[in-house]
Amino acid sequence: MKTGKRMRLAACLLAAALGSVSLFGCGAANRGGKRYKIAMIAQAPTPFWEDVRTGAQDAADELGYELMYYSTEDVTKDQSDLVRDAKSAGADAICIAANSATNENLMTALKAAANSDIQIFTLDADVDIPDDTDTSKFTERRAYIGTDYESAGSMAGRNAANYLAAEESNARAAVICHSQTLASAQKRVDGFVSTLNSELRSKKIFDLEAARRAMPQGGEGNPGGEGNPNGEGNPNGEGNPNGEGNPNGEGNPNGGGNPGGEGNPNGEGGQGAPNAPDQIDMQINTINNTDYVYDVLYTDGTGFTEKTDKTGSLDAETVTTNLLTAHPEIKVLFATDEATTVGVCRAVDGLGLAGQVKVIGVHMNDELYDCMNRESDAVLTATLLLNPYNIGYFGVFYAGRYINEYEEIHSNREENTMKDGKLREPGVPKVVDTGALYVTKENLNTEQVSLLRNPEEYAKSK
Amino acid sequence: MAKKEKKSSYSGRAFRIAGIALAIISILNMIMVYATYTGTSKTFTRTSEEMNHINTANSHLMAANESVLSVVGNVGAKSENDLSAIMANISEIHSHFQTIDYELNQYEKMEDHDEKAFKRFKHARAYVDAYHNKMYEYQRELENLMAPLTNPEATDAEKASAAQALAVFKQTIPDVYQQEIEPLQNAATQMMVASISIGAAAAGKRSAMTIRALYLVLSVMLLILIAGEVTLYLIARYTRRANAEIDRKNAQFAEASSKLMRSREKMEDIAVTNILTGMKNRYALDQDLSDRLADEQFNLAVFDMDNFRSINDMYGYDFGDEYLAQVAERLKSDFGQVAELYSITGNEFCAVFNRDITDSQALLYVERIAASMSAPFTVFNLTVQLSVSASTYHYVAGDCLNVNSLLVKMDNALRNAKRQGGGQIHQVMNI
Repeated sequence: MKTGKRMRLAACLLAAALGSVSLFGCGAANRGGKRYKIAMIAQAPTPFWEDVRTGAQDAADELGYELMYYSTEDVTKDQSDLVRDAKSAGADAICIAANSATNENLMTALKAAANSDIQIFTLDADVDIPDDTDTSKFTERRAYIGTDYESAGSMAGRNAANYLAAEESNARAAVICHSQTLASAQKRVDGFVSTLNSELRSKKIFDLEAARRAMPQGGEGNPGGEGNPNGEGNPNGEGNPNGEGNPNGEGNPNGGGNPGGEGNPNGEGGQGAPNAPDQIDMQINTINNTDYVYDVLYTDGTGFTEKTDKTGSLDAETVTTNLLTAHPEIKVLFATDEATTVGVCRAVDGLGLAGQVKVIGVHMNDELYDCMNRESDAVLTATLLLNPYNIGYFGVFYAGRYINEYEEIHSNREENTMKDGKLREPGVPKVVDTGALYVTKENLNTEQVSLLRNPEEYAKSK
Repeated sequence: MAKKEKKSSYSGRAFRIAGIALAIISILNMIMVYATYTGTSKTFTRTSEEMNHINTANSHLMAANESVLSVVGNVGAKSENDLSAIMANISEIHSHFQTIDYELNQYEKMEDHDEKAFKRFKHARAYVDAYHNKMYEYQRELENLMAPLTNPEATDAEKASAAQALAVFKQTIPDVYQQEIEPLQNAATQMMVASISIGAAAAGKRSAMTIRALYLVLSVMLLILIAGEVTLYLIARYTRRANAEIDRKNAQFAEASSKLMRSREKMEDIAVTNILTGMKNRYALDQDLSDRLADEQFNLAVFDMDNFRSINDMYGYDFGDEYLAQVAERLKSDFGQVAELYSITGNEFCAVFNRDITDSQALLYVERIAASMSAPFTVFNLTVQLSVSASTYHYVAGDCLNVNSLLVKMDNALRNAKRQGGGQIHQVMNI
């Protein structure tokens, strides 16, 4: 009996010890939790998307997720099959760079995925998020990770306004856009066009306003009254697309070369003063209605010269060549993606207009780097350098964070129910702007540019 | 007995070895636990130091972000043209970045970084630096623009154009912030957060590993101790069993040995006893007296019933035997106290008187014994009576070489008594 008890005790102790060993062993394997599967659906197998993939893979490796990478052949292809593939492969989250913001097939596939508890994130190209009243549209997108393209386009527009302001008054800008269907492309165009126009208008109006403010102070006896027409003529120049009469008009609206305008404080031109405000108002009105963007040309089928079904740089080159040949007043070109930028640069270079026509592009490959890095007359004036690595990295980072929190919230509902009875949303921002860096020759060879162009090599070199 | 000692020394050694082994295990246990504990605390210290640097840098980054926002919103300005608030905020941003730089440098100087966390850190650092550079760039631009305003030598025209340029600059601040600074701010902050979370995960993994190592050591030690305990228990059980076996065998052995003793004693008794009379026999007499012959003097007598053979002839041997038995019984009960009685041949008895019996008493007892023997006995309902002849001998040391020659002397005297008609007592004469 005694022996039996002792044996039992020993057996219990042994079991406890073995149990604790195996428990800790298993505990370690389980603490990392389930290895989440994050699917990434890219737009096309381009270097840009390879960089996105690198970032995504880094995040997956660092955070212990499994990355499933899918890509269509090009941006025109339907991605709904890939969404279904990811779903059947057991993805916990899908990070998609949508080839279309509204395509019905794609929205249906995404909705189906979202309904089976797969979290949807958009990378670089968003899907159309409707307002709450329209339930037919896709509402399950958790976050957008990518460049705020409207803001990026706006940054290009702001700089383009400066370039254009230095040109003759009839100088115009044009946009060569890679896609009419991609929301991300349209946003760049919108940002560019609206900012360019408003910046240029306000620049000119600002100058006119300054002139107007200066006039009444001039008071009577202003002999410059007759001299003033020149001063007024200058602003007119901006309003007038031809503007031949006054090449310096925009550049020097204050009349640096026109003593009349500034001459007012000296008490001259007393007679001119009463008429000037009306004229200025008229001019402001003209300025307000001036469109500084000649046109937006799409290389995906809706160009102004050739209608083709081809996409890419060859098209952009042709389109640009034709455009510049027909419209020498175009002094600024905005190309909306890397391939288009390459085409535009080739066209400008081919026409021998390097340095005369300012090209603002998007992103940068080696060819574009060379286009900008020339000693004089760089073909590429500036580019919006994107951050594909960060897009991929933060796509996976936030998707993983969302899934983790989502599971935690749903496994502990009581603690995560808010006052209104709804469950708390995981703490992930709805929009993560990865930004765009405005790169010109001045900052081309800085560390930041090399970090963005080659994140892996940059980190290694440090 | 030797076997038992060997067994017990074997189990004793086993206990000693087990004891030493347990002591060694305990010491090893202590050393390992100490080593693991030191490792764990080192890991924790390192992790907290690491986290301290990164978190301090991060909180200053957040503060810098706030100051940047203050610049953008021109927070704290008394009027639209008041630039002092912007300058104050800018200098604050600058001091935040100095702290960030210091903390990140400290972190970078630490050794044995987790590879993944450090890679993320380097990315974060690159963005923080870019952010810093950008802010510095704007600070310088702003300072350049403001220089004519604070320069007493500047002309009014210069001041006016500076004021205008500054106004333009201020107008662009929100756009510049949104398009150029905010993404950098975001990238720096988010990379920092990623770096922290990966660093924390790595630290967690490191801690978990050391804790797991600690538990593993403790578990292994526990297992070893349990194994030791079980071994000791088994040894004890084996020893107890072995001892029980030894005891059982010893008992068997003792029993066998006492049986042997008893049968030997019995055999010895049989050898020296006359079965019929229950008295000692001639062999016993030989044994008893041999040693005394050389240096003792004593009295002894031999008695023989006359014509006993006629009883055997007349009534049979059974009758004779019973008769002799009765005689022997009477002698033993009446004279057992004074003499050692022997039944040396069929009907011949010998009495060796005790040392305290004097010579004259001895003679008296001889007569009494003879008288007792020659008294009537009732055997199988028949009364029989035989006369008894006797020879007495006052033995003096050295008289005889052996018992045999002593008995020859006494038999001669007895024969003489019988020859003279029996019923007489003859004395052996000392020569």
